[in-house]
Amino acid sequence: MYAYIIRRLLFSILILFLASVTIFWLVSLAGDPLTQLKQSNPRITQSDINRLNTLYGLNQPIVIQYWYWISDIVLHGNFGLSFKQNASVNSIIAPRVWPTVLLLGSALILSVVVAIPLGIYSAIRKYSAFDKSATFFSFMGFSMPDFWLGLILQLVLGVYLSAWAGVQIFAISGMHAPGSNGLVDLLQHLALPVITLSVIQIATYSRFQRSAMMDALNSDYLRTARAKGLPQRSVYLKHALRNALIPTVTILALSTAAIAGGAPVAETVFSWPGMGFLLIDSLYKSDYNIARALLLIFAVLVVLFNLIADIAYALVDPRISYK
Amino acid sequence: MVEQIRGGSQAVTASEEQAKIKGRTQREIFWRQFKRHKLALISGVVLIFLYIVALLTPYVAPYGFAEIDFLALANGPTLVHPMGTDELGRDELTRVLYGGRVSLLLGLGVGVFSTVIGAVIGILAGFYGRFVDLGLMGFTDYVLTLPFLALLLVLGSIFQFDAVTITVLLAALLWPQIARIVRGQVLTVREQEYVIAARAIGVSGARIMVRHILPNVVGAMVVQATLTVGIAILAESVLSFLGLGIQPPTPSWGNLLSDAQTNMVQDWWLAVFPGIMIVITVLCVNFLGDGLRDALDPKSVE
Repeated sequence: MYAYIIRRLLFSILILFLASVTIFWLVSLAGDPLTQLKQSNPRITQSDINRLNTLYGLNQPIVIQYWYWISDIVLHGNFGLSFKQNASVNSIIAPRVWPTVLLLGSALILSVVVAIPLGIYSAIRKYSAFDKSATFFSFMGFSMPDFWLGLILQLVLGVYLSAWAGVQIFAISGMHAPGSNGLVDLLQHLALPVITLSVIQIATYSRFQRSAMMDALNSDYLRTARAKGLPQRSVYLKHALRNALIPTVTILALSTAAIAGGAPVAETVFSWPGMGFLLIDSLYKSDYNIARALLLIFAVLVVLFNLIADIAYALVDPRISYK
Repeated sequence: MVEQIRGGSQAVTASEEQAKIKGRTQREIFWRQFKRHKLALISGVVLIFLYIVALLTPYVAPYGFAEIDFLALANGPTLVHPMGTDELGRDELTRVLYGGRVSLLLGLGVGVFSTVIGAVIGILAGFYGRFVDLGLMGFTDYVLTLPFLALLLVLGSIFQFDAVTITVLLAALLWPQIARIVRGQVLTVREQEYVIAARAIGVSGARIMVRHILPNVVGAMVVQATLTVGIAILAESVLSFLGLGIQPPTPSWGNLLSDAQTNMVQDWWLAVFPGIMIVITVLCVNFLGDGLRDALDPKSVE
């Protein structure tokens, strides 16, 4: 068991190392970050260029650059300097962390709260009208581009509903109305991006939960429970549900990883001032050190939650032995 | 039993009886199962229709690609322009058809290429095992953990993509799922008696893989390939929506939606119709995959 966890941990570190190399190298394909500066500012001198090259370490071979970059992150938590703004990457990212955590956390809670009961009820009433429509909507959910769902929500709930009601119920962009920072205002801004992020998760994970519950319902111990005459209610709640919830811990962790992956698109559609929006923005502006930092942060999140999923599964389910 | 029936009845019933005893071919079993999944059947028909329209777009589109109707600038849906027009007076239905051509063919291309790569790698890894397996599957796992959308965003911001480069890149990033599934199947198939028999009579490795193993893993492969088509269409739409994918004037469903965003509140039809086309296509692809999976699953055969 511990050997399994340690092996998974080492594997995750290896994956992260490879991911960090890939990220660093891919972004460096963009070319010399000072080219644009040289073109836009004719008065820049060769000594200025040399000074900047030394400052950013650009005169070093790429392997050395990578080494400086990654060791500074691992040892000091320092992501370096922005190429475009006179600031450190850390100071630019810091105010973006909370909005993203808030958005992803809310989306996660909403997805779990809806997906688990939905899946369980579908399995109990399998092939009923309820189950069939839940299946259909799941398929709709993961056949839909998330940004388009966001656009339609903006249009229907953000614009038309407000026009019909005469007051703005859901806001369609940003985190706060100018000059306001109340809770109600925040919720009005939070609602639509959270729904956008949750729908696909609900579609996916209610399916998982449904099949986990079906497995539990078809198992021998459930037949035993029925055979000895237990009431339906206790068969479902005590015997089936408990076992069907085993995969849920995995679902929770995988869901977090998947929601993090959806953040850039949802944040961009709703101009939500988080890290995902900053990532897309930094790519448009060719501010590649910020992009590198954010890509690495998202990679860490995804790998971390996948690792948690694996370990949680091994811990919770005694039937599985890991050697 | 057979003799009894044959001896005791007329020739016609005898041959009927014989046909029944002969049983069904794999293809018949598959088709019988597949037909029962009505949504998959309908989806298949819709997809065939969409692809025919995509191939014939220049002939079936109601207007020319760049044709401008000066009397209908940014008009909502009417009988003349069923999906409305954009702010330049171009017919949206025509643009959606041309965009669909790009999106649909891209999806199919990614499906085919990633399946070919995945099948080759999966079969080699499963068949040869040992260090070949270790090396190939290690590489597969590495590609699988790359956040493919983020990578495409970075590459899209550095290089100018066109439909062909996106197809190649998506195929290069989406094959690992197929490789893993194929490898898993090969591991069981290669232990079957007919493979061992083929080996025993000295059939070459390459021939065993093509003649004996490939036909038996094709089912699982096709299911995953179908799903890959859907993933590819969605990925292209996200990239193009963010302006990092297929660039105008080449239309795709993604960049049509990107254009639509600026004036969405006034010109809602520009945001609605390309999106609906994406949903219909990917939904059909997913239902088709679901139907194929059911039909190929030996446990569901009755």
